[in-house]
Amino acid sequence: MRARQARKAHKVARVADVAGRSDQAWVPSREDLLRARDRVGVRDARSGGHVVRLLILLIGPGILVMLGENDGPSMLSYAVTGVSYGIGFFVPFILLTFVMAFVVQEMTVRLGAATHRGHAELIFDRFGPFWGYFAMSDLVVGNILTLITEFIAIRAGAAYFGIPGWMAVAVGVGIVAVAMSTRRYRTWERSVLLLALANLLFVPTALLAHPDYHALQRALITWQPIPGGASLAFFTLIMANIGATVTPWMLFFQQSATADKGMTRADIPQGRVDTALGAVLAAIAAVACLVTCAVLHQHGVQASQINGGADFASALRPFIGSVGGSLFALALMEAGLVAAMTISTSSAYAFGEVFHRGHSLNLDFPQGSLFYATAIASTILAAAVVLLPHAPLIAITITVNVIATMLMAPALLLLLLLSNDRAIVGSLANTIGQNLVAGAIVVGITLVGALYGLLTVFPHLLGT
Amino acid sequence: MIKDRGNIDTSALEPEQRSAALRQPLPRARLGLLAMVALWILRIYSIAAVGLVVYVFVKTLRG
Repeated sequence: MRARQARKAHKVARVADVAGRSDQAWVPSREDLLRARDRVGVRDARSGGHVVRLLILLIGPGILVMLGENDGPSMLSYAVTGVSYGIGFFVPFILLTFVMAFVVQEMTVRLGAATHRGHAELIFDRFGPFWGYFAMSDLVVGNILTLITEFIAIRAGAAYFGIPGWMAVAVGVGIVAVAMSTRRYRTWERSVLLLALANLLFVPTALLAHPDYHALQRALITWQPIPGGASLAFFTLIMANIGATVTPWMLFFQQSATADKGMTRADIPQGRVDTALGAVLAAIAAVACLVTCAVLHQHGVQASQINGGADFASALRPFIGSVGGSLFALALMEAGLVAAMTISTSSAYAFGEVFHRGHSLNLDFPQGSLFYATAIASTILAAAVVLLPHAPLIAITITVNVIATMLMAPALLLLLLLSNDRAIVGSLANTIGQNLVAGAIVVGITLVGALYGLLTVFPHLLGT
Repeated sequence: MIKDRGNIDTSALEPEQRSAALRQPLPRARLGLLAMVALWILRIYSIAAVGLVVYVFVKTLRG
């Protein structure tokens, strides 16, 4: 027992030693100086007892990750769910998925604040390149596919206003590049935050749809009506809705952004508030999108009749007016744009971390060449794919969310292992309760995926 | 170029937060048997599941 404790203490001491080794001759870099400037504000707000100011300074990664995940494919998944099933089972189900998202993302706040390192870096350092490259391949595949669908959303939203696809996509790429060119984490974060709040444009569209508030209340309390029959289509939407709230890129992004922002152990309570606030805002927008499209369900419109975001906005226009249709199309463009900014940044962080190159939004171009090149190159690649004609947009977007859910189980297990790694997080390691909840999420996601697989191979397994 | 570079109080950064400290890799951890088995199971599961999703996607497009 004593020998085991001594081994553990030695391991913790080795990690601390590695972290502080460079203390003797330190010349602050641009990244250090800009981060220190931000930290001075946080330190002053904390010592002055300015609770609200402190929270305003520390919010960011949590809201960005949650509203970033309310992206093009996610909003289209909620829209298809609304058209297919109306108000009922899926409204409380979506709220539950955001609780799940909070539980998962809170772990990344603790990891980022305790270690000051990104997710990819921790996986490579602690578990070695074998598992690291697996995690990276999941991230790269997921991110490229998702980025493609973000540009589908941007293009679809713009099509509603008659803007040519190439122009919408080019402006999208331009905005991602301009935001990155600030070379300042704080400026990038605040600009994207401002843009991300436009996700709430789905709220007025829901109000314009004059939803059945009684049905909404009943759904929230009773989870009814339950869609008839556990069909493949039903499980596809279950998977797509899970994939709309928890995906691998979110783990990589929030942990790296927490470290890049310079958050420390003392900032974890604010990090939790930030994540919870993000989850609440994103849940409101998600439910609003579903409720908006439930009006189509009421009027007998079939999801198969709609082939993209612009079609959704056009289909909604007779019921929510031209203002409502325009707001829906704008919100869809915003969802795609914000996600393109956050997802490309998550790829950039991960590549920088894995190849031990500069990985911060505070870096100058020469020091952060790989970081900025990864973000811009992945954005351009995704944008180019979108311009291919006759792409089955709705099928692609739903499939991408399903793939994200499938890739989530191994990513969550790695997160769980890191969150229990006392050598790097010390007293911030998961409690038994947190492990039980997170473990249940891993098992739940795996089982739903397995059931989806079984229904694919044996479509009449459940008698439908 | 950072304005007032000399006036920035760098003591606001924790020593482990400095970019030089972050360049040092952390030591490897040993994965237990249970963790290894779980990682392998989920890895095989995710590869098979993604393959299935792609198959359904292609089948739907052709169908």
